[in-house]
Amino acid sequence: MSTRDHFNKDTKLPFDVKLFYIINQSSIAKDWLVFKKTLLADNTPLFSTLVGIIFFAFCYDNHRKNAAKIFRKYFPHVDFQEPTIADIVRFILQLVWLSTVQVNRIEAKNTIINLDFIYSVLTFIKSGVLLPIEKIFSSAEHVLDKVGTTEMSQNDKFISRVYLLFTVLLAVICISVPFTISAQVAFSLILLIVAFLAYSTPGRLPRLILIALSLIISSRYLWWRYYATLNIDNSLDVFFGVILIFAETYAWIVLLLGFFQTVWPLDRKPLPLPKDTTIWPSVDIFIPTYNEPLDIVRTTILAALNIDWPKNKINVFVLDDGNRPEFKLFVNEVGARYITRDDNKDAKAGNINNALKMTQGDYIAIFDCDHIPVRSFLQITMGAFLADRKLALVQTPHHFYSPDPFERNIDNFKNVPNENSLFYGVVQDGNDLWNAAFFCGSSSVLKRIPLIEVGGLATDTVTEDAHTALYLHRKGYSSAYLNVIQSAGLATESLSAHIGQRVRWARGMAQIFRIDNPLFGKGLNISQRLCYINSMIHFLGGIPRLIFLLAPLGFLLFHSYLIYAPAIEILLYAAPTLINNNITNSYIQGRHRHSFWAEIYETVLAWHIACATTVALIHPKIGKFNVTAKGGLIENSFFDMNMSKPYLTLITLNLIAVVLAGYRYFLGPEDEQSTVILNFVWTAYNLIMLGGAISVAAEKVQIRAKHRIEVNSEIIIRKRSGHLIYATLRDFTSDGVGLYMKNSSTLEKNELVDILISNGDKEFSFPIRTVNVKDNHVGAVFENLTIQKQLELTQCTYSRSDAWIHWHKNFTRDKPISSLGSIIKVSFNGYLILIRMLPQFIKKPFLLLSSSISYIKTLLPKKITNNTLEYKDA
Amino acid sequence: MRVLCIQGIHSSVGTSTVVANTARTLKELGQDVLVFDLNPNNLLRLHFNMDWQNPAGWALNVSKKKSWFTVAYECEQGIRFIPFGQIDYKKLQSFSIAKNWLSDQLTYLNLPSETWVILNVSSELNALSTQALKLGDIIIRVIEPQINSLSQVIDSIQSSYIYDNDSLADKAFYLINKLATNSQLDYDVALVLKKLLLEKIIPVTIHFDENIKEALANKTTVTVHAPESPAVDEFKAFAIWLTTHFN
Repeated sequence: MSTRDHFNKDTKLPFDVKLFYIINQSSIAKDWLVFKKTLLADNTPLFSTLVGIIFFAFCYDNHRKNAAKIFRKYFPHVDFQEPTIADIVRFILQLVWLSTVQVNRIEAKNTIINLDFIYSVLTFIKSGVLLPIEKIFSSAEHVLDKVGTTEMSQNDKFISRVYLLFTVLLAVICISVPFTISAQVAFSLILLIVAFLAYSTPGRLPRLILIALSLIISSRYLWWRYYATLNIDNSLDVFFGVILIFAETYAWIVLLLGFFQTVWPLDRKPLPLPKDTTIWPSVDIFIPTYNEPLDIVRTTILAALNIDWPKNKINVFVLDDGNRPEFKLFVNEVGARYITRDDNKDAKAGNINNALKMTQGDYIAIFDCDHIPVRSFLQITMGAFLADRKLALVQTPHHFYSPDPFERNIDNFKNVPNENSLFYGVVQDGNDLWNAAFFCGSSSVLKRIPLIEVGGLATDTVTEDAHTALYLHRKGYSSAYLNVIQSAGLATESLSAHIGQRVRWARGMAQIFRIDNPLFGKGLNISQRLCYINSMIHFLGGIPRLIFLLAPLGFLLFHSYLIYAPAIEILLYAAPTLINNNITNSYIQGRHRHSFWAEIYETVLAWHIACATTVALIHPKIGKFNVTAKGGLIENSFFDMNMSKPYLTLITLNLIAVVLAGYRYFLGPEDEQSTVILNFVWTAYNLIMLGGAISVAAEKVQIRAKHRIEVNSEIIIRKRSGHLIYATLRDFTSDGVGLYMKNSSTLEKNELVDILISNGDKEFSFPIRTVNVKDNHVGAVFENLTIQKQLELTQCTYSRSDAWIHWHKNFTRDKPISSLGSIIKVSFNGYLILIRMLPQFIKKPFLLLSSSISYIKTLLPKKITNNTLEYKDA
Repeated sequence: MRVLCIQGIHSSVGTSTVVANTARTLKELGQDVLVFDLNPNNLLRLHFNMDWQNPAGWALNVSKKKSWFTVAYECEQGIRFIPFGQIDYKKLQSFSIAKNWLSDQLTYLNLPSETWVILNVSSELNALSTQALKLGDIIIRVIEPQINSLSQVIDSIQSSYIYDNDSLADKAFYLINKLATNSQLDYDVALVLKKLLLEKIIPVTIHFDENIKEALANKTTVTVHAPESPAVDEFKAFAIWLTTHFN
């Protein structure tokens, strides 16, 4: 028997096609051939052909044509052509995964096996429980909206006081009454269930509920610690116990103040300016610089000149502490003003104070030399000043368009919110409610009169910004925080620079804590004191963090009962507290910080800020301002041994703890085993966080001097022949652009063309020279831009008011479990980096272990996303 | 039936090009289109790949007292068009049509309500263009960002837009065509025009592009000739503006 296949060649009929003829299904034999061609190769072994037929038989009739494609898409890691046993495992696991977890999101469910019944039942139950709760919470929202807007009568005040008294009493009972084990279990479970329900619904009431639950459960924990777990009979136990309880008390205070600070973010909106521009105040723009290259400062100066404001009421001043002639030349050429001074007394603060004497504007906007403002900066910020005469400061977020060392070395830029994000997304907004938003040194506007009144920028400490804000608040002025990104700058370039910057902040905050403590002194109200004090003691967290990282050694090495209680009781008190606090924090922080990342940030900084703050608390005068290095390159990857010595020590100690845990478990007394397990889990957690710290210390290459900023706007290319071509601007720097074209064959390499970028009503053209043209992507550099063209270019790119609006769209709401998963991955990588540095004979078994783990990982199911990107970066 | 008049504010602003490309873009958006050339220069047909030598057209037939139904064409992309016809100067002088001729013809055609009838109206004021403008549901006046267009626009505004006729002015909108990207003056004049005409200006500007010239030389539209040209997207934006205007 012979037939013609779809290539019109005479071939012998393969056995599988025969099979279809035998079972009298010749009509689907053709479908099968297509299926086989797509999924398997032409000459497949008998075995996989048979497997293929089984798959094929399972598909629904009407989907058979596309089935092969779907198999390819949903089983990307399975090799259909030459399957091994592992491929079968992969296939089965993936099938289970698709039909349980991902079933709702894929079209494959119709093609493969329909299992979404279970899923829909589960969804039904979930929404049945959540819907009424959501309704309650959303109706509560209307009541909460009125808080603070209506005046309370005498009677209302009395009633609310009664409520308060009642609540406090109830809380005291909840916190202090000792429970039996089973009562404690019931109590924690109820709280956790309520917490989970609140976590699943948005709104302010669930936020308040979560905070209340966390307060109760963590206070109860601390109460139990003080009341029941200090063994005063044994001096060693007391010694270690007191150290640990000190750290825990610190953590509790920070938690408490943190809740207070972020209970109700103000979320202030920009206020409109009056129509009549003649009554708009005059503004001086200060751009202080010291040793940064002109290449970085240039764009900032150009963008500052582009800010929309009446031209006779705005002056741009470049405050050059480096006294560099090329700066003077450029500044004068573009029409800004140049200020320098003979000495560098008091660093940045002194530089600005010097300029204050030489200028007259009603307001002062300050930008660090790499913080490029958008044109709408003043339009957005100045309205608040005109509405509130007591307002002395408007701060906007610091946004970074380049990755900080964490983001670069861990490689999560734009996927995981960075360290800054929490402060500018939640904390400052929360401070603003209590009129305690503080000055961050850049991207902010200050009013001249109050600033002069407090003697200019504070010079007593190395954090002149926070201290100046404290001065202003003490004088009764108010501050505002506007959470609208109106400028963008460069992040710190290396881990050592990053730590250097944070150490400066920590030192400065400790200095203020010591010499001008916000808890005391005149002028502040109680909530401002609490907000300031929290911002300061947050930086004192180094020592408590180190205590937590070493605590398991207290038992495992010294055999001291730090928490003098049976392991099961410790678990019942500690675990619900930790879970509840994590849920609450995850809820408050939303998409501004993902769970457990804070642990990594703090672990990295712990040792360094512990030293700095201790010194500053003892002797606040030591230490000077250091300029944070930015915009630099890292030519070769390297491991920052200097910065990571403390973590290496901590890792060694924790590894010793692991060994000791094994020793005590197998050779120690049996009744201690549960305590050993508890301490072992704690050690393991510490090791995960320390591994994360290690992977940050492995500096990755940074080859690009200018960071490309991704955009997606339509532009026109004009060839010298007069032909226009439509293109998409994918990214830009001040030196060049990356373009996407549907048909890049119309351009040649090294061709001189113009690009037309429109900005509002206007369109600007810039000459570029193509550098590489490949697969629809074109890279080009700007060609001899005049000063005027540079100004226009900045206007069309960095200065656009919508330049940074879409930046955070990739950040999703925190998912604690998956966040922990990615931290473990990061930590694992950290240890791999360490192992690679070890001698060969130690390295080998570890590397074998790691490769077997990565092999097992290939067996695991893969998540399939349907939204694939249309085109990738150039 | 949606009657769309496209008229240049003066000659050589590229009206035929706009008509041809708009028709083709609407067709690509899935609309049903009939194009009626009312301009004696008889240029529109060249955008639709009609033979240079073929003099056929409705006016020629009408002047010979024949039915014009025999001179409706369809181009490769499925656009139906009716050319004006090659008429010599003498015949054109004596050419005249009855009052309401155009509206009678369109009524007679009895097209479905979604069909676009695009009338390519001559910039000169004559009996035919007056009939067309009165008949149109919307009038698109094509302008160039040049001083002569600007002067015409200012005249129009002073004489309440078109021929002292408010009802025409109400349905008239302006489209800037042939913006030369290497001319600062063009950009400036375009800005002035936008400021003058305010909501009367269509928020799409057609850039002057070598591709558009080449398209006509190839007897087709730019959408077919150079799909990568920005004009393609500009005409698409214009067509979408038109459809939303009618909705």
